[in-house]
Amino acid sequence: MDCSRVQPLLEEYFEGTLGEGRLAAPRSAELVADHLATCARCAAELHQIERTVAAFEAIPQVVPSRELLAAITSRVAELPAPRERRTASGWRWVAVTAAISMAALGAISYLLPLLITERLAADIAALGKLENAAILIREWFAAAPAILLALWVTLGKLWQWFALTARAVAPTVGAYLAVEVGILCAIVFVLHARSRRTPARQTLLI
Amino acid sequence: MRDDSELISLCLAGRGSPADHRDAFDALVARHYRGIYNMVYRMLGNSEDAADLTQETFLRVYSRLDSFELGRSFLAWMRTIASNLCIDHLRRRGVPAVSLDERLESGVEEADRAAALEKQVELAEDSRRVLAAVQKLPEKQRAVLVLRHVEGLKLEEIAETLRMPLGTVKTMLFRGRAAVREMVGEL
Repeated sequence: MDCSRVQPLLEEYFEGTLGEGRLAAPRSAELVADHLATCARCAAELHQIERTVAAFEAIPQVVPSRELLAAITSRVAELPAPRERRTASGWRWVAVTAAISMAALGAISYLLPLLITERLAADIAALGKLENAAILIREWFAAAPAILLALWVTLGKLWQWFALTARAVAPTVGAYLAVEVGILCAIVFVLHARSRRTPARQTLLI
Repeated sequence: MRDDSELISLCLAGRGSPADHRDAFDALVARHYRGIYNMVYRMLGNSEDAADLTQETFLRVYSRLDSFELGRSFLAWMRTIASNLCIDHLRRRGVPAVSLDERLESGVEEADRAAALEKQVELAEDSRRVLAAVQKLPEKQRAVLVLRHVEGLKLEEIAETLRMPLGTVKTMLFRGRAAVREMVGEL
């Protein structure tokens, strides 16, 4: 390596990052070091970098006035506390998403039973070899709003505690979707468990 | 002594009066205002602007405290806010800052106590020259140099603080230092 190639690399060499991310990383630093051992001009250039950085880092700390601390705290005192805004915005956010979700769930629980025709129910029953599926499905969809409301309130409270108090995870749309998916999984699980009940009850329902 | 995360939790816990929350925040201010002032001062080059921007930093920190993610470094978060304020300020100002060096040489008397204390500080001649040269750099280069050599941050931390790619940080650091060397001459 000659001086014209080494000098543009000296800053990076000094920083210890020469060739980072490149295939020739270790070799580049070695080549520069070899050149510096034999070239007084480049060595002087590196020394100049070291002196400049040393001078910069030797700049002493400045001491702000005590009045600055008082000024900051008195101006902060004029602002509303973060908790107040947080709680208000948190509740508003929970209320809006709860309203939207409840409306969506209500619409689904109203519309789905209408879609379950006798014929479709019979087909489902045939597929699952489940007797009286139509009655069971209608029964469950009739109870769905109450079940969903209970689930929503419970999970909503848990989520609110998690988001506002624990604050370990930001209240993102993705996280909320995860809760929604959790609700759906719970519903499917309950329906599935219910569908496996003894046939005696199903017979009675006929 | 409570750490930063505990104090922030107290500010946001939803318990106690607004005064309790402010007490917790005041403790955070008392802990960090010197460090932030120093960083801002080195970026702006004068005590008056540094005091204003330090105040502005803490007001912004307080008003955005509910967006701070517990578990991350509070100081790093404040540095990001302070750096952005400084860069915006320097960009708006549009002219190179008057350096401490030039202020002292021109005999401008500092009115406030901060400046009086500053005068008591004996800067080594090399440091004075370097500091004066840094004040003439473009705002982002200046921020990178201050974060690297005053705050002692690693390159990756600077990239995170200034929301810049690592390569850009390196380029700014190397070009900034080269420019300082050129302005300062031989030390």
